[in-house]
Formats: sequence, C-alpha cells, structure tokens
Amino acid sequence: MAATFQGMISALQAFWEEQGCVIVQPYHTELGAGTSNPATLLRVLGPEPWRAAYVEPSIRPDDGRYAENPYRFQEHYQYQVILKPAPDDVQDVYLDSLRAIGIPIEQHDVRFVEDNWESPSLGAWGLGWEVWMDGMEITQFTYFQQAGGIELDPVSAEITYGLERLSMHLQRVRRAHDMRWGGGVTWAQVREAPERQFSAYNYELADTAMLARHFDDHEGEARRCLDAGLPLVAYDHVLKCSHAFNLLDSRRAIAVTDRAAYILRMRRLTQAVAAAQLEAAGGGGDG
Amino acid sequence: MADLIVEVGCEELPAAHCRIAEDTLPGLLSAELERAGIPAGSVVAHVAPRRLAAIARGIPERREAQRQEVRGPRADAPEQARQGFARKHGRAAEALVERDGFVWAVSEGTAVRAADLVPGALTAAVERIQFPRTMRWPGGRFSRPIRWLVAKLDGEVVAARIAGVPAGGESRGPRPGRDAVAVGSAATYLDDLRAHGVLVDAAERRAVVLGAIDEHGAADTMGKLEEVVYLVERPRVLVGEFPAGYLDLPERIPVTAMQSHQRYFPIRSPDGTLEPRFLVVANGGDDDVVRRGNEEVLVGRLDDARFAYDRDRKVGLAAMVAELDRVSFLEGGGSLADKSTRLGPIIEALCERNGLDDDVRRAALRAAVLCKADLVSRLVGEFSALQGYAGSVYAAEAGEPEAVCAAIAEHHMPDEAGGEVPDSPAGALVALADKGDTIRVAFTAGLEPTGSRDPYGLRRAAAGLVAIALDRGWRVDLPELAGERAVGFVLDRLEPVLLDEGVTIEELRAARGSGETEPAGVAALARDLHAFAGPRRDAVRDAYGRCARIAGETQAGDVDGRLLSDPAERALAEALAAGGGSTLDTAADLAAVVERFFDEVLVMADDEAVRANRLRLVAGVRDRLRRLGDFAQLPG
Repeated sequence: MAATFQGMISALQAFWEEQGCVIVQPYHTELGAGTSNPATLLRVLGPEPWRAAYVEPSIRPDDGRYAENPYRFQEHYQYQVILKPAPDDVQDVYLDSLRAIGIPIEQHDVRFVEDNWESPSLGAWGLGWEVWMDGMEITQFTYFQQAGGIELDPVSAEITYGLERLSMHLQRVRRAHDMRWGGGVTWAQVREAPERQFSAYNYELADTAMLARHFDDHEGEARRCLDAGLPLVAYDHVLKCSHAFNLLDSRRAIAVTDRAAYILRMRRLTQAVAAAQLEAAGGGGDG
Repeated sequence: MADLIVEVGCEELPAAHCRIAEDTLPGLLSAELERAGIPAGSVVAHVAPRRLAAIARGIPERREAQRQEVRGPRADAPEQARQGFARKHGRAAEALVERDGFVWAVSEGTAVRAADLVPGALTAAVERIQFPRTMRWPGGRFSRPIRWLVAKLDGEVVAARIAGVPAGGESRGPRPGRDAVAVGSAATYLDDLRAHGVLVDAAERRAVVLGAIDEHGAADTMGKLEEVVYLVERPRVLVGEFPAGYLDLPERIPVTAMQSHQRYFPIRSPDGTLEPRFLVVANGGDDDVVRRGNEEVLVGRLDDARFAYDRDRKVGLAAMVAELDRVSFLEGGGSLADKSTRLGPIIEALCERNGLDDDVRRAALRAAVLCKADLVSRLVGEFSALQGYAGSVYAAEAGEPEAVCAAIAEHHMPDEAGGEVPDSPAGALVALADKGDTIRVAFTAGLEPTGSRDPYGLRRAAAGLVAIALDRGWRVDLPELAGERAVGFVLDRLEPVLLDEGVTIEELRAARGSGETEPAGVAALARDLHAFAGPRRDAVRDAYGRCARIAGETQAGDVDGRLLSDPAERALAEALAAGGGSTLDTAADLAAVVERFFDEVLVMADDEAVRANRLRLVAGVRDRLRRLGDFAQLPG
C-alpha cells in the first residue's frame, strides 16, 4: 500500500477514519499549513469534541526551488489530524498509524524529539515534538495550547505528517522526483512543471503593488464580515491576506519596518475571528 | 526502615527538563519526606526521557505519635469560655486538663504509617519541580503529559496520585512496544527496566556513548553529548558512512551538517583530519536499517549544504551586504544594514579610548561592514550555527585580508557562557560593539529579559561583553555602549566570573558601589578588595563607616586651612590633600589618621564654622574611600 504516494495517503485516510475522524477536504484557498484550515484552527476552540483528518497542500512561496531541490517545494502536502480532546494514548495511536502505512517500526528508530511551535500571525502556539524516524523528521506532533489568542480547553493533539518525506523514505528514493505517485506516474510528472512555473512567479513576477492592495482589500472585507456576524467568511479573507503576505515576502517586498505591522494586522483579525466564532458556537458556555 | 521507589512515567521530556528534574528531585523529595515526619536516609534520582525516578532509602516505618498541648482560657474563666474552647478542639469540657492556672486540651496523637504519608510527600515533590516551560493536557499540567506512576514502599504499592494518574506497580518498557514492566521494589527497579533494555540511569547511558566515542575517535561532541544522553533510553551507537566527496567543503560545513539538528558525532583520524564517517546514537531498531536511514538523511543534508554553498559563492559577499537593508534586526533597531552602520562609530570610540593600533581599527571597521552579510546567505539559512564562519569563508574568497576574515568569524564569540572569546583584537572590537548595540537597542525597545525568558539572548550578549572586556582589559564606556538602563544588567554578568575566582559577593557589591561602570574597572576593584582582605581592610571599612555616619548628608568641599586648629585634623587634611586613600594601601594608612582624628577631635564643635569645616573634611575622606568601593557592603 505504501508502494505509491497515493496508496500511502489512502492508508492514512482509512486509518484515521477508523479512529472516528471526519475526513474533511483540503481547503479551497492557499494555506501555509494544515493548521490554518478552519477544520483545525476554528475547531480547536471551545469545548465540543472534534476529530478530523485531511490532506492539505501547504503553499509556501518562499520554499520554492524551481524543482531543483530534492525535497523543498512551494507546494507540498501535509496530512493533518486534529484530536480534541487529546486522547491519553495519542502517541501509541500515532505509532499504529505508521504501522498501518507499512512501516515496520520495530526495525526503526522512532523518536519524539522536543520541538515547540508558534505562529504569531495566528496567535497560536503549542508544545510537543518532531517525530524522527532514523534521523529524519517525518511528523510534527503538538499539544495545541492557544489559538487566535484564546487559551484552549480542552487541549487538542495535532499531528502533521510530511507526506513527501514519508513516502520517499518508504519508497527508498532520494529525490521526490523519482517518487512513484500512483497510476504509473512519478512525482516529477505531476509536480515538476508547476514547481518551476510557480517558483518563477513567486520570486520574479508576482505584482507586488497588486498584492499589497489585495492585503488591504481582504483585511477590509474581513472586518465587514465580522461586523455582519460572519466570522467563517471573515476567516477566508484573513487566509487570503496571509497568502498575499507570503507572496510579498518571497518577492522581498516587505520593508523591514512593515513586517511586524503586517503580522500584527493578521493576528488581530484572527483573534477577532476566533472570539466571534467561539461566541457564535455557543461561547463554550454549556458544552 | 523502608525504601521507596517512585517513577513518574511521561511522554518524552525535553533533554533540558530531564536534567533539571535529575538535579532537583532528590532535594525536593527529601524535604517533603522530612516535612511529613518520615525523613529518608538518602534520596537519588534516575532520569530517562520517559521517566523521572527517585529512590529514597531508609524511611521510618511510621511517624510516631506526637503529644499536643494547647493552652485555653484561665482556669477561673466563665464556664461558657471553657465550653467554647472544648468545642473548638472537639472534646467534652470534662476532658480538659487544668494546670498552671489554665485549662489545656491535650491529645496523645496517633502514629501514622509511612505508607499513608508518602503519597502527599511525593506528589508535592513532583509538582514542585520548576521547569522553564510547562504545558497543559486533558488531565494536568507538567513538562509533558504524565501517563503512568509507580510508587512502592518496599514491596507495597502506596496510594499516590499525580495529575489524576493513580500509582501502581507497573512501569513501561521502551518504545515502540507497549510492554508493561513489573517493578519489584527500589532494590530491583534499575534491573527490572534493564531487562527490557532501558537504562534509566544517565551515567550508564553516558558510559555507553563515551565508550563508543573512545573506540572510534569521535572527538567533536561539541556539547551535544549531554543532550544525546537524555534523548535515548536504550542507547545503540552505530557507525555510519557518507561519500568522501563531501569533505571538499570547508570543514565546518560537513561537521555542522552532522552535529546541528541530527546530533551525530563526526569522526577524525588520529592526525585530526575529518573522516567520511560518523557516530549516531540510536534508541533501538534494527542496526542496519537505522544506520542506512541515518546515512541517507545525512547525505540529503550534505547535498543541501553543497547546494547552498555553491549558490552563495555565485551570489558573492558584496551582493549579500546589499541585501541587508531588507532584513529586520530587532523591533526599533532598524535593519541589519542599520546595525552594521552603527558599529563603525562604536568601534572608533573603543579604539580611541584604548589607544589601539590603526591596522586593528581598519580591520574591525571593514569587518563591521561585512559581518552580518552571511545572515542572508543560503548556508546560514540552512545551518544557523555557521553564522560568522560562513561570512569569513565568503570574505576570504572575496579577497578580504585575513584579519578581517578572522574578525567576522569571531564576532559571535563567545557562543556560550564561559566559551572562548575572540582571539584577534579586531574580532574582539566587533564583538563588543555588536553585543553592546544589541543590548542597547533591546533595552530601549523594552525587550529586556524577564524571569527565565530571554528570547533575544541578551544575558549571553552581556556575559560575552563582560568576558571580552575583562580578557582584553579594555576600557569600555558602558552607559554609552549599552545604554544607561542596561549598565546594571551588564555588570550583573560579572558575578559568576568573579565568584568563580573566589571573590565574595560582598566584595563585588562593594566594588560596584564605587560608582565605577567599566566592567574591567569593577572587576579590578573587586579583586583588589578580595586580595586586601584582613585587618588593614577592616580598618579602612571602619574608618569609612565612621566618616559616612558622621558626615551624613554633608557634601565634600574645600576645607579651610585657617579653621584647622587641632594637629590631628591638620594631619588628616594634609593626608587627604596628598592623595591618601587613592589606593587600598594608602587607604589603610589614611585609616590610622582617621582613627586618631576621631579620638582627638570633636567634630561637632560649638563654633558653627569650625563644625562645618570638619564635616566637609570627613565627607572628603568618605568620598575618597568610596571610589575604592562601598565599604559598608563588607561584613563587619
């Protein structure tokens, strides 16, 4: 099952479905990480139990390498699992998921190495580990402590697999390019052309004046949506701000003095969205 | 007597937290057992990533009954008062005892079994471990989640509970298995786990790793050894290989690719050259599988390093310098280009103040322009530990003089407390200027460290600044360099250095009380005070104390010679005018003159002018001595 990239993903889907997760779909606008998907960031708020799993394309313009680097891309894929509240045996369940995709973990050196996570623009942080298999980082494992500036209770466990690395390891290939995707096709056949084109766009072509305008516009629209009591819609506009910011950053178009201000604007919006969403969901009062 | 074994089973604890628990748990548990009335003979800790264990030996079987007597109202007090007192102590009024004119509630108490006292003591001890950062999980708050608890007094489980986890007699074996491991007692604990491959004691794990290091000639442990010891429970040391072609890279690049993040140990041949081999400390698995996996990871990192290095060389140092205005330094500190620009005048001032040679000044000024360039290099982007080194390599390729390259490489030093300081004077200049500027900017922006949080590494910067100033003996205008508000913060870093030399905290406080703000000056005063300890220093301290007391708020000022009538006061005025008390030696001589003065002269003379003149003289002595130190800080 782990002979291909898509086979490995299917195995993960089946495993987490079995664990009672809702299998949601990748989000429809650009995200830097699966954490930003509302199925994680807005669902970890409040007391209601929630279990979800999904593939998320992670769009990081500044990580593009024109498909020249063996494992660094402006679009890579994460498998994101969010478990609220974090179950007592969550580490063992995670290890079982590795067995489920065909890794004989008894033969490997699988370790949880301290790594803490923080996103200033999301007002979010957590403590946990990166999971190493034979020295390679394959997963980020976090106990989510705060999101949108709100202390989380109960605490959720967030598991984020780096899919290309995991699959490359299973297939014993050194470059993502050679990884079998499925259907007789390699990663290179699927991803090489877009990596080249998007790297060129992100670094050389993106219209910075337009992006700066878009940031302002989406910020304004997010505020209007918040005023109208539509925090979920407002959040989409925050995500669009975030992608505009990332593109501006990859174009080196953010002046030193403006950077912190941009991040603060996104954090304020996210905090307002989180507070409004928590209230809309019942304020966490009676759950 | 009984022996206690406690094991707090956790999800993987950070290595630094393991060491904190290992250092502090014995003292905490010992104190709590004593507080509970069942002091242990000895307490030791054994710590591995998934378990904090403590063994307390020689605990008494029980806390003996303690007779308690509480005095109540007077024996002739109204019946009502008696009744109230009796009720308060939960007994009938007839049961009160009369003695010495009062009534007393007396209880003989009962003995309590140790097994009933241990749970409270061990919970309190574990909860009192101070981690720099804790987390919450559904169930509790600790360094990482607590998942099991073993607590046995000899062979018996005690009814303890921590973070909702009840104590039992079963531990767990190593990952990824889920084997339960029965713990017999304190005596068998380490062997019970060893039978499952877990070495709970850090010293045993360290011995395994050190043995392999000796065997294979891995010299560069670079501080990673202590971390690695707390990342594994069942250490397996494997030797991996990589293609020798990567050794063409400047040496610290492959070394860093091995050490940083991966925590591998590079191997050197006896003549010191790097070999294409490394040690990896694994935590189980099949040796061949784990070795091959780690080799592939390392080759990937070496590829990254080569890619970054080649790209950087194509870009060149000059283009990197041009990028610096786009990179933020600290809030309120502008860009890295701004920071580089600020370093020039600071370096000029330091050279001026210390009369440094022109070639040193030129090398430092050139290095200041270039030293931050590598922060935008790909290589430092991949391996932040190569800051400085990468810049010096690229500067050398750009044809910069050796002194400039060395200064760039050294300007981050010392990397850690007590680490090596820059070897070259130009390196020391850039390092001082850079650290001082960072501290000044951070303090101005209100980013000073709070508690254990020091996100900008300001304590390390201040310690480095002090270490370099002392090493060079340079005069550093601290208020100018680091800002008025940071003077005390920087001088605080003198403490570990000087206490380590044997200087006492009182001597250091006295030296700082002199008003001196040069780090080297304060250190010199403190060392002098320390060397001068004895009856002569005590005499100066006493003389200073008397002068300070008598002079009170009086300001020193010109002493009018015509008003000096007594020989003893003339002698004191002359001694002061001749520079007495400018050094500790002459201060001791001056102290004798002061003593005679107080014996023979009445400062508080009836004549107001004479009195004021004498007070000014005494204040003058006080101020002169104060320049050597605030003697009031020294123990009397």
